[in-house]
Amino acid sequence: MIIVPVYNEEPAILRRTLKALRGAGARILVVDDGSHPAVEVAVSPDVILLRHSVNLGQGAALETGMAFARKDQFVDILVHFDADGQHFPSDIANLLAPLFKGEADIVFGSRFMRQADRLRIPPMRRLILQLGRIFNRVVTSIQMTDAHIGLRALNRRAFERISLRENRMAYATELLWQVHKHELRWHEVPVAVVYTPYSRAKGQSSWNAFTIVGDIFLRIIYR
Amino acid sequence: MEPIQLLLIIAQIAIALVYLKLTRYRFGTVLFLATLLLFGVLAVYDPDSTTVIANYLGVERGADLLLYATVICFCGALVAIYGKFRKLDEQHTGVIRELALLRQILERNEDA
Repeated sequence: MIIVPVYNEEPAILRRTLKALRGAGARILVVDDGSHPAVEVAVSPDVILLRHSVNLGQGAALETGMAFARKDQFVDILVHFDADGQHFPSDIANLLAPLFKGEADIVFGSRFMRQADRLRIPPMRRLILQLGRIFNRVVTSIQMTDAHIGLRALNRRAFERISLRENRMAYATELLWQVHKHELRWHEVPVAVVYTPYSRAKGQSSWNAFTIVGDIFLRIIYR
Repeated sequence: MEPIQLLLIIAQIAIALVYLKLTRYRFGTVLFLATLLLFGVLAVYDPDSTTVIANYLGVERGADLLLYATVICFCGALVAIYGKFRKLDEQHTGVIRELALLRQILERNEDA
């Protein structure tokens, strides 16, 4: 099952993302995180729509998707996939390979494992991500090549143990915390991300890094 | 007694009573509030008495001691209120999530 959190996404972009994902042959779970106007997608047995009444944040949308999957005994693997067209559905197969081989419980995409993918990232964003990677290393003890990428895959063992409490973008660091806490086996695979003017406008601003650091410190204080 | 002293004492007692009612007269809270109220009333009725305590603690003026205590109490209240706010926020998220899941079940059943 592929979870696609959506908030005020351009309908044409969302349609294109969902159309591309249909080719992956998995069920798609769209979580509308309180968009205005509400997301309109053609619901079918393969496309499920969950709707938050108010906007909570990407972490909350993913947790809602995982809560849905926990109750569905037929879901063995979950993929988190951004709706803004940044990711390539063809990368999903790479994410799933370590799960199928039983080598990992959670697999993260990384934009820093291949030179070509790394160079696609705008320089300022690259710097912020590397600082984020160091921050994650300090607070979670997990050393990864990338930070805060929305493309990852989890097996049932992982999504039954992981429970996100951070509603907004700090969830990505919290998720690593939980990977460490539950001793989940993790893996990284190279993935490509395309930065379009739309995705850059829609995505996180570099200043948001400070909000994430603040949220994590507050989480440490108010566990 | 000056009119302002009377007003301040009445205000302190009123705040303490409202707080007590909100916390349903728990013993610990009653004891804490009674002590705080006693010091508060004393500080208003006889301001010089705070200087005695201040000198004992190494502070020159009673007014300074009151200012320090107020700042600490304010910060403490802020931390406690923010903790409650976070808890409420998590509960709010939980309700929205349950609603989203229930709505999906309802819509699925309607379609069926």
